[in-house]
Order: sequence, then structure tokens, then C-alpha cells
Amino acid sequence: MEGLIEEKDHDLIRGCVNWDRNAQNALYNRYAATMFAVCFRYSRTREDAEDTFSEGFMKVFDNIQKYKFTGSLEGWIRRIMVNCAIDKFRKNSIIMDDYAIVENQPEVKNAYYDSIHNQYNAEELIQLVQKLPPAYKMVFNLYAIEGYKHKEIADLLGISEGTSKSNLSDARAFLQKALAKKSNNMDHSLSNNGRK
Amino acid sequence: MEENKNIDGLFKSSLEKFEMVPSTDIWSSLDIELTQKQEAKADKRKRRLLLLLFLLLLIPAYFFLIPKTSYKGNNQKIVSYTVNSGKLETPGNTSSGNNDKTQPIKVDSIHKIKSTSTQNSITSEIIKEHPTKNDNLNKAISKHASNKNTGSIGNTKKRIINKDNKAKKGKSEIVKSKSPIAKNGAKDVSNENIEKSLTTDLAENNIANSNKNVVKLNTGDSVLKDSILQTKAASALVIEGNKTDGKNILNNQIDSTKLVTGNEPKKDTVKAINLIADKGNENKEKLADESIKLVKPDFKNGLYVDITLSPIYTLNYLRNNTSYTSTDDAIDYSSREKSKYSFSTGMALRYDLNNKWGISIGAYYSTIAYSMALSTVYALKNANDEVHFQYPTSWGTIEIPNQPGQTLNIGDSLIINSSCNQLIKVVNIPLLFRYTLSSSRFSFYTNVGVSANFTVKEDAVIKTGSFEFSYTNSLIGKRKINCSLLLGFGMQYKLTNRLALFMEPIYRASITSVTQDIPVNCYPQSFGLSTGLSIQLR
Repeated sequence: MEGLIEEKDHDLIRGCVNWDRNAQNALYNRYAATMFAVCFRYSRTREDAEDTFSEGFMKVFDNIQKYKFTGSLEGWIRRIMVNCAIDKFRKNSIIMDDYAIVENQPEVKNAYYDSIHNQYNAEELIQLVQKLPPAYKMVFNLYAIEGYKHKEIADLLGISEGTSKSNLSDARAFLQKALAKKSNNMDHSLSNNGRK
Repeated sequence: MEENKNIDGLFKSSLEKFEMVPSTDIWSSLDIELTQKQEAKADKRKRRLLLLLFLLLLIPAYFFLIPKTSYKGNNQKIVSYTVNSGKLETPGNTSSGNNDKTQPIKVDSIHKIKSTSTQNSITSEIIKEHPTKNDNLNKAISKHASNKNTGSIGNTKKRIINKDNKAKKGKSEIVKSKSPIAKNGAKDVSNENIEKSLTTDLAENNIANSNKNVVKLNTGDSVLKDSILQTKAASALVIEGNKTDGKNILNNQIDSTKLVTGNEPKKDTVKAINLIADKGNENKEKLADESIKLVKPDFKNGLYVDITLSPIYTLNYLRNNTSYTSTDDAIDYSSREKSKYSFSTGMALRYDLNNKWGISIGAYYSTIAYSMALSTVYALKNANDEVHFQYPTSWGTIEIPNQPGQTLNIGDSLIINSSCNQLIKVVNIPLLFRYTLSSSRFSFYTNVGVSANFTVKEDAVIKTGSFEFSYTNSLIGKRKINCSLLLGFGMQYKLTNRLALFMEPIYRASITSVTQDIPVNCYPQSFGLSTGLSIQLR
């Protein structure tokens, strides 16, 4: 089965290299949903995500001949999408200071965090990530979800390793606070409903 | 630490494989963009193919379309005759024979020399085959054999034949050595004076031609070569009985001789050749046929390709755009910008109308580079009534995209303490008139003309702190085309007949502004040192 899928990928990639529109459309349909979610995580709005997503897919089609079949195609496309998001972040970060406001985050107890662990679906979590200030969001996405190291993040974003670590820490604090707040609201709403 | 892992794990497990369906419009817009790119790629491929085809055509054109004025084949005996007692003889009809003590000058030896490859062997062979009692002549010939200066052929000849007394003495001795032949032969002809004149004249011509060959073979001068050929052709035609054509060719030869030696050929030469014709020659038909083939056309007009690479340094002459603003912005702009060295490269087709004037048209790709520093940018309204932070440069304004959801008011400021590197890419189409001041192996010329300059791309990289932002084709207020005047003074060195190196300091001054609707009008002025290769196509 795996061999068949690989063979399919080969045909698809060959078609894309030859600029065959059907192959391009098939590749797009196969990975659009996954990749759009990736772009969405790095963006502030859906429109932003769509921009990054379009740009990323154009890069995929432009550079598909460079894919060496050494890793998974999905991983290769994901890297392109992440790089596009990073480029966009770097281009726009001239005025990012507007967002780089570090709020005083309240401490969140571990036990409390454990209790809310399974209360959220992915859409709610992605919305929380989106609300992060751009610099925090980049570092958190790259470190926590994509698995980059601080050194790599520092190189990609043109910041120091220390800043990367600090941003990650702040991002976590921000998310913990947001999770706690959301949980409180839910509890409150549940208790209100109970009283009724 | 554990807590960190938990929160990271929560988001990773939930979001890593998360999927969201994008809007269906995205594929439609991608489809359009892909079609445009596909067309652009096809166009690019076509252009590359055409360029390749053009270059491929140039190579055979160089070898086949350019008339060759040199002899073909090694050791190929094209024509051979000797001058003896006023008779023009072919090898099969040599009356004097090889054992004759007074050896006539074998013209045939000239042709052997032509096929010899190195200058030294050419010189030595000539000297060997034309021994003279005066070593000075040998020295003079040797010296001038190594002279590669094409343009000084006439002067060289004068120095060899006329002005160098010692050489002249040597030449006279050679002529004298032929005189007995003439005198002996004179018994057989009725007009002794004419025949003597012919012998002496032809002998001189042969000596001169030998010398010419030394110079010619080293310099590739076609005039000299044709001079020899035309002499033979004229002789052959006269022998053949076609005196009119023969005389015409001879007249050309006389002109060539005058050009090369500065000597006026003797008027009796024509009569002498007529006399030879009367005396007849067994192989005259063959001689005539072969000689006629040797007459080559003389191409004076030339088509050249000049390939150039030039470092350039551009300065901006800025003037306040009074229709846009009343403030003195030109000084501010000038003070924060600094020019950087860049380059220009390209090629031009040049056609020489005559030996003085030429006209050329070309296509050059140039880059113009600046660096600048700015501490604060301000929000201003653009032509679409949108307010953006704007980064002002002499070539136009860079509009910084707004953060999503951000609303700016006119006059808002942003302290960025930035440095900016700007690179403008331009295609220049110059039309130039060239005037050659002196024409020799080293020649000097001036170029004057106009150029249409098309800005094809501009890149700007703004660095602020540890961040770097790139902007491409984002200049507002930049004109796509401007015109400039060109002035150059160059020097050219001919490597061969068709290949020359040149170096030309060139000054380019814009006569129209590269900007509009920004606070300053910018007139770039550039200085360059154009160096390159000039290839004659025909």
C-alpha cells in the first residue's frame, strides 16, 4: 500500500514538474486542508492565512522539481508554508511593536491546568494561538508544534536564542492564562445553567 | 518544566494534524496565476531559444559571411612567374633556369612565404631568398617584420623604402643586381628604354612587394595584398589581350602602391606590360585565369559587435519638485543617500559609415546602487487615498504595508533607525554616433548619443535592528523610462583584423527626471569605464 502511495506521489510530482494543471489541482486538493491549518496558526486573520497559503502553494508549484523524494512530500510542503509565514512575519514586523505588549500573566497552577486539559477542541486552541502577539506566536508554533530548536528559531527569525526562549515562555504564560479564563467562563456558565 | 511540556503537548497533539478547508476562491485565483506564470515561462523559453539561435547564427556568420582576404591553403602555389629580361615567365617557361648566376627574383617565393606561419620564419625566409649585400636592409626588414602596427604601414614602407637611407641603398643594390638581366634582355627588344624601365619597375615592385608581404603578413593589411594581386592580374589581363581591364586594375594597383609606398609608379609601366603582351607567353591563359581569381574586393565599411562591461558610479542630481512641494527637500534627500559602485554590461551593433564616422545601437543592462539611512518614517496618503508609512528615496517612495487592521493617520511617525540598500536595475538602449580621431592599430574615438533607459526592477532592503525587510518594485513616483545623454572618449587596440579591445570612459547624464509626483526630481549622472571586445562581422 505504501509503495502504491509513493508511486502515486511520483506521478503527481512528475505531473506538477511538467506544469500539468490536473496534477497541480490534485496536489492542491490533497494537501490544502492540512496546509491551510498550518498557515492559519501563524496568521492573525483568515485573510492573512489565505495570503500565506496562496503564496506557499505558488512556491510549491514553482519549486516542485527541487523535491528530492528524500522525506515526505507533506513535510516538504509544510516547510514551505512555514517559511512563507516566517517571511511574512519578517516583512510585517517593522510595525510589530504594536503587538509586542507583554501583559502581566497570572500564575496558573498545574493541577488546574490538568483539569482543563481535555476541555478544548482544536478550533478553540487554534484561536487561542492566533490571539498571541506575532513574535510569541511564531516562536510557540515553531518550537511547540513544528519541533524547531531555539537556535534554529533564532536563525530563522533573526533574533537571539535568549529572545526566542523568552518569547516562548511568555507565549506559554499567555496561553495558560487564556485557557484558565476560558475554563472559568465555562464553569461559570455551567453553574449558571445548573442553577436554572 | 513538566507544565511546559503539558501545554506544548496539548497544542501539538491537537493542532499538528488539524485540518481547515480553505475558501474555494483560492484555487481559482491560483489557477489564473499559474496560467500567467506558464505563459511567462513559455515566453522566457522562447526568448532564450531565440537568443541561442542568434548566437548560433553568429558563429557561422563570422566564418562564412565575412569575406576572406587571405590566401587559403599551405604551400599552395597560386601563381608563379619570374621577371627575366623583360619577359614574364611561368616556371615551365623559365629561360634563365636555376643555374643561372644572375638569379631573377622569383615572385613564386612570395607565395611560399605567405603560407609560412611564424613571423620569424617569414622574415628569415625572405632574407634568405632575397639576399642583399647590405645587412642594413635585412635588419630594416627584420625590424619592420616584427612591427605589428597596422596603421603605420604607409609610414613603415616609407621608412623601409624611402626614408631609411641604408635600406634604400640595399634596395638599390638588389635592383642593380637585376639590371644586368635587363640589360642582357634588352638586346632582344626594340624599345630598350621601356623594357629597362619595366624591369627596374617590376624589380622594385617585387622588392617592395616582398617588404610589403613582410609587413602585410604581420599586419594582415588587405591593401598591400591586393596591390600585389592586382599587379599580377593586370599583367595577366594585358597578356591575355584585355588591355582595358588590365589597365583599370593597374590603375588601382598604382593607387595602392602610392598609398603604401608613397612612391609614384613609373608611367612607362603600362607601356612595358603592353610590350610583354606583344611578346607573348606560353602559359598566359592559365596565368590570366589564376591571377583574376586573386583579385579580391576591398570592404571598407564594417559591421561590428561591441561587447562591454563597465563599472559605474552614479550620482543623483536632485531638484525640488515645485509642483509637488514648496519645501527644500533636495538637500535632505542628498544628505542621507550615498552612491555605491555598480556595473553595466551589454552589447552594441556598430556600423562604420566610413573611416571616420560610425553609428551604433545597443542594449545594456545596468544596475544603480545606493545606501541610505533614515531614523523616522511618516504616514502619508498615497494616490489611492490610503495612508501608509512611506520611506522616501530619490528614485521614489517605498510604501510600507500596513499591519492588518491597523489604521494610520497622516503624520503618524515611526522611529525605525534604519539603513536601506537600494538597487535599481535598468535596461539602456543607446543610439551613438562615433567619430574616429585617429585610425591605426591604436585608434582613438569619441562617442556621442542619447539613451532610453527603462527601469525593469528595483529592490530595497531596509534593515532596522535585527530585522530586515525586502521590497521589490514597490517604488511610488518612479517613471518607467527616462532619457539621458551619453559622451565617451575611447581608445581601441586592434588584436587582429576583426578583433579589437577597447576602453572608454563614459559619462551619462539624464535629461529627463526618473521621478514624478514626489518631492524631488531626480536626474542621475553616471560615470563609467567601459571595457570590452569589438568583433567585426563583415
